[in-house]
Amino acid sequence: MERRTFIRQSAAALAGAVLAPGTAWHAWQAYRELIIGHHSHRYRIDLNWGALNAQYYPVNDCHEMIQDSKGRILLLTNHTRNNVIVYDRSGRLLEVWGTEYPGAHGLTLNKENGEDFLYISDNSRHEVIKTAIDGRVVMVLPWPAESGKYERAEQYIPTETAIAPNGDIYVADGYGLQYILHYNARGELLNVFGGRGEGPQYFDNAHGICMDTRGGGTPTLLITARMQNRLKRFTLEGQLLEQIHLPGAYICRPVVHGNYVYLATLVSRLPMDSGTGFVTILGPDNRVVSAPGGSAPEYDAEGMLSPLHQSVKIFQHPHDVCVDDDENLYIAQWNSGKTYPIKLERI
Amino acid sequence: MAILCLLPLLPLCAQHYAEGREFQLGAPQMTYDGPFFRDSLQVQLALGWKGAQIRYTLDGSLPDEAAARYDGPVTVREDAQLQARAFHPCCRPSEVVKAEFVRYPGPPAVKSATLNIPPAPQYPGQGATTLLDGRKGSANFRDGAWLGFNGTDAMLRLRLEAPPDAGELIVSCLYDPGSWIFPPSAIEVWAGDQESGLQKTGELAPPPPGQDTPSGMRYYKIALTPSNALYWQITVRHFGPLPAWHQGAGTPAWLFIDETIFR
Repeated sequence: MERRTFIRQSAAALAGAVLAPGTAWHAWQAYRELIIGHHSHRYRIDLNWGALNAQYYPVNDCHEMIQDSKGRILLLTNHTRNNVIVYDRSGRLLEVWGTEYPGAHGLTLNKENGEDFLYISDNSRHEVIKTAIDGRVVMVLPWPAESGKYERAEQYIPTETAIAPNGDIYVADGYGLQYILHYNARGELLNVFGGRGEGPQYFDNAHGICMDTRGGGTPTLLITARMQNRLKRFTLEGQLLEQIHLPGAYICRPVVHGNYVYLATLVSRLPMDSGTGFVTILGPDNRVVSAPGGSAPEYDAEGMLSPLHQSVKIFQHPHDVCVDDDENLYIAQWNSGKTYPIKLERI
Repeated sequence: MAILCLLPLLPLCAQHYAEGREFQLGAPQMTYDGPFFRDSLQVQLALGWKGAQIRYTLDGSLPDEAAARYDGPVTVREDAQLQARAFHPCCRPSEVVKAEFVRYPGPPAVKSATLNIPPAPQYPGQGATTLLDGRKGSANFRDGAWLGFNGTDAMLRLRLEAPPDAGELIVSCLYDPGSWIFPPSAIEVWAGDQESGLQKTGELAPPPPGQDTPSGMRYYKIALTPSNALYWQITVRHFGPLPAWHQGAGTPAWLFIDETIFR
């Protein structure tokens, strides 16, 4: 945050030093460069960040991105030539690894005893794989036969993981039977909740899950119910606490950063390949503060959000948001012409 | 010293950010209760992009920047083909959103309604009443509001309680070439005072779609010669074999109907 402010002020000072005040330069520049988002969260668009030679470093779907402890940005794609592409902050390629993840979908980072570990949810392998930050496999969580909920591996299509402070692992079976599976750090199944059903405690497309550590106290789980346009908050024991309604927003996983929750929003109307996506940002009160690429958020007197929808076609199908130390965003997209991520630079 | 401090920032100045003209505006959101309405209907349009203007037409023409500007709900009192599109100086105009609205005075009082040709078993709807219930089918033709016929005509026989006092009959169909659903080749309306010996009181031959014809709802309006008849027959002729340009060329087209409206 401090660095961001510094850059902004310095850039302004620099512009002032080079150009006489009162020129039309600023106005013209502001007009040319498209600014998206609302209120406190507005962004410039960098379409060139992270673009690579697709002959050497191809991507299919860019499913998820995280920033590691060294500040590097990791992209997970389901292209088995290089399932993980590691960039520096400027978008320069550092390394690639991973050829064994045909259904690479979910990427979660957790720091354990000072060391970064990754949890990869693979749709095609029907497994969750824990690796070291360099790709070395540490543990594999197979399909949960022991849960009694599944008859065969194909029914289990994990989409995301969340790791509790004690190392417990929560897996969302977002494309399978919609259960949330709770393991301890050794991979022993402790609890199963969610599943498909009619009540609010059930899911339709439990696509994402994360630890909500905001506000101190005991963390809770934020879990996506994408077809229901909702986030659902659960205790770590699997009790439903509340629902956050986001009409119109077919959200992917929640990403908590600071006091905000960032949600890649795949589309704003069906079908799922309608190319109508954007990004949704929730404030500390879980109300939408900004929707880059989407319509301005509006709440009525009863606190109901008007349906969100795409307002400008920056994105086709955003699938994940990575938030860096300076609160810039990196948007990975599903089914978007095998394009590399789009960076949004916060202003 | 000051210049040295600023040196690391120089790459920032060279940074190229995307310009508005590289992007198209999103399509306006359209909300309404319909598309059938008795007296009037309200259509709301929104984009949620500051400074954007939504322009619309009601006659089926493509809206340009000179078209009527949306500044609040549009009230529709007559049949209309609404097309709307968003404009903003920053970006390219949006794609067009479309909807067609049809005034529907209500179903006639019916003594009996029968389908002389049964629909395909997969798409039986609610039988003959499907065509007289005022319920518009969705683009999902499996929603139960449609009757589907595969390679056969549709024939609705009606006995009314009272003469319909109608100048036209509207037959509501679906064109969805990807699902092999085509418009009818002809619609005939017959009427009479008795069950037999009906006279033809109207007919229409819709033009066959071309390869570029957009899919969607179709409302065929057939002018009727004035009649006090109580017995009616509506015959909707199937398209016939799929045309040469279609991937299913030569095999029978589907015919989907969800409503018939006396007006």
